[in-house]
Amino acid sequence: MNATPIVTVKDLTRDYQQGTITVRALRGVDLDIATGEFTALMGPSGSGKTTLLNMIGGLDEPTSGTVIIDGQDLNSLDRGQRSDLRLHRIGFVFQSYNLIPVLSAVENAEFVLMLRGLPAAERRARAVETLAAVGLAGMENRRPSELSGGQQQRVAVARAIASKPALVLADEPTANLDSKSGHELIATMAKLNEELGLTFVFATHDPKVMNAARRVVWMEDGKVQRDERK
Amino acid sequence: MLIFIKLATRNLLRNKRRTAITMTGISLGLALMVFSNNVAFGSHQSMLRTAIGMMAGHVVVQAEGYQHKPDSKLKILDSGAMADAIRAAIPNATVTRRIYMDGLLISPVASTAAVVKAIEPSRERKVIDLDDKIVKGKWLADDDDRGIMLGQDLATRLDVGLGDKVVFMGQPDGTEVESRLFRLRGIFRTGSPEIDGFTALAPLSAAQELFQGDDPATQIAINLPDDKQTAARTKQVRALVQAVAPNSKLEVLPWQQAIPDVVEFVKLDSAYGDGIWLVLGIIVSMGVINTVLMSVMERVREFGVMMALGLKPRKLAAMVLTEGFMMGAISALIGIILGTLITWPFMSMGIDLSGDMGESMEAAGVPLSMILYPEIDWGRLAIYPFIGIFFAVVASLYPAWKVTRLSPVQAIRHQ
Ligand SMILES: Nc1ncnc2c1ncn2[C@@H]1O[C@H](COP(=O)(O)OP(=O)(O)OP(=O)(O)O)[C@@H](O)[C@H]1O
Ligand SMILES: [Mg+2]
Repeated sequence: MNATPIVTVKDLTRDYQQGTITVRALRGVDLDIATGEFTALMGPSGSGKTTLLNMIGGLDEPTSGTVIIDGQDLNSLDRGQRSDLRLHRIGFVFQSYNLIPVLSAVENAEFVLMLRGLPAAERRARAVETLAAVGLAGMENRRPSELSGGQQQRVAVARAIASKPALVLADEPTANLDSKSGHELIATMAKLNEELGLTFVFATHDPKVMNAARRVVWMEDGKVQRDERK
Repeated sequence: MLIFIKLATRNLLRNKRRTAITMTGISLGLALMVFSNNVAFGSHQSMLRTAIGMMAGHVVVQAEGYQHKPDSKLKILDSGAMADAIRAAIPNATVTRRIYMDGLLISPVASTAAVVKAIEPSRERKVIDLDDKIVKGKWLADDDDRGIMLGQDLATRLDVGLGDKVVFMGQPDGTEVESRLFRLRGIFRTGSPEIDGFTALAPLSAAQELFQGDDPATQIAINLPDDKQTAARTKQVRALVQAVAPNSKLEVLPWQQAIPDVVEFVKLDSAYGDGIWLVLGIIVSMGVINTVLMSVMERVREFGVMMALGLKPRKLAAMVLTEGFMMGAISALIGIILGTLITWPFMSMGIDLSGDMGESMEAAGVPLSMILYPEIDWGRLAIYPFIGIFFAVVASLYPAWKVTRLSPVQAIRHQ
């Protein structure tokens, strides 16, 4: 693929200070992600996958190096601007407990649209439609506690994609799901990728995700070790 | 904005018991505050009413400078005509004249310093509220210009009984020493040592004989049916006095200026009460801080997710404050209704303190009733909701600030 990169990571490092010890979570990562890619970050525990995703999402600040999203250097943005960038360009799915417990499935799904200030009727329609797209038609009014783990993750996916972001970052979205639910979730995301051209980046240990991905970036010790495209 | 209210409501309902306990704390604190303020307000109002009747009037007319430095030499001349003119202008007011004289009261066996308050008996009786405090004898008659009434302690010191002779001796007009013989008609007891120990009541006509000049009086007191009229009536009387006696030097004062000591006492006493409630408010706020902080800490991960989705920390803080605001507003409403309901029965029943506090009380020279009748302080009632909301919101400030310090990464790692 040679489309314009949506994400450019250059010589990125991130050190964490734990007492007197410096943990070097990222030690110089270079990576481009093109629009429409479906990428899995794989690697052993502690290799820096979550750290890298957080950096790309502007949730955390690098020790050195740059992250460029859609032409914007995150280092040049303040906290509020990074927050706006996430709101308008990036969708997030985390490993678990993604949802706001006091809001129903559809209210969760429309949360980002609401933050963006979309009119109530329009965002509700879009949230309902998106929930249907992830296979949750009819469950709009359930609270997260009334949904299974797989269903909750699909609500989180719906929330991440309802706002049609340029990029969806997912950190081990299938880790807490049984095999069948995991399969279904991956299939849903692969379909969204194919049909809508949404860009996905996953951090995962799950071979199912790896199999579905068309690009696998292998990490070890805070570095990219291998970059495979299928 | 709507979503914040929705989220705040649902989050408050999420831990119903905790919310209920916090809100009960605020409500009860406020209810107690409303009730105790109503009691204080009632007693202050009653004290002011007594002081206005006994020591001044809603509006008083005096010789210029008398308020600053009381001296019986300073007098209003042709006071009867002036009083009549005021009566004609304000028909529903009770207008009464007084002379205050310092001097000696002498009985066959003793003598003592005293203040003689010379009055128009039947008019004064309407404003002084002394009837149920007469322990011996009766109120002065209008035509009895030898009659005198004494405070109980004064009568004891002079060792006189009803019908006994009492002589007043003094220099009321600042010229010659004058004296006059009275006979004791009645003894009163108010509970105020100042009044019971040093005050005598005599007819105005008798006192006037000790002065030069026509129809003198120290003070014309105007008692109005409603205190709300005081300011307007003061202006009216001032204009009237100018018109009736343009050359006399007189001052016309509302009661606030005529009895400043009493007004000051009430202010101080209220401020003291407010101070106690401020401390209580702070203690209740500590509890609120604790519950809000607990509920925030339970939701750290949730907040992290919201921040990751693009919710600004400042809005997150607004959400926490909205929760405090709603808790404060609802509890304030409940507290105010509760406090008013508790006050209600006591407004007619009164709170009898005579058992605990002895037989009588006085403050700033004003005898106080031993039965407190709370009154609803409407002016304050309108402020209480804001007090409740203020404390709840202020108590939420710290947790809200903590939320803005959260790093999304740490928050999401938080389990
Ligand atoms: N906030 C932090 N403070 C200190 N050390 C951290 C912090 N976050 C991550 N690390 C460390 O950085 C390294 C990389 O962590 P990271 O979470 O990115 O790994 P990961 O590849 O996502 O692992 P896993 O597969 O277990 O999720 C680890 O050694 C981790 O202990
Ligand atoms: Mg991880």
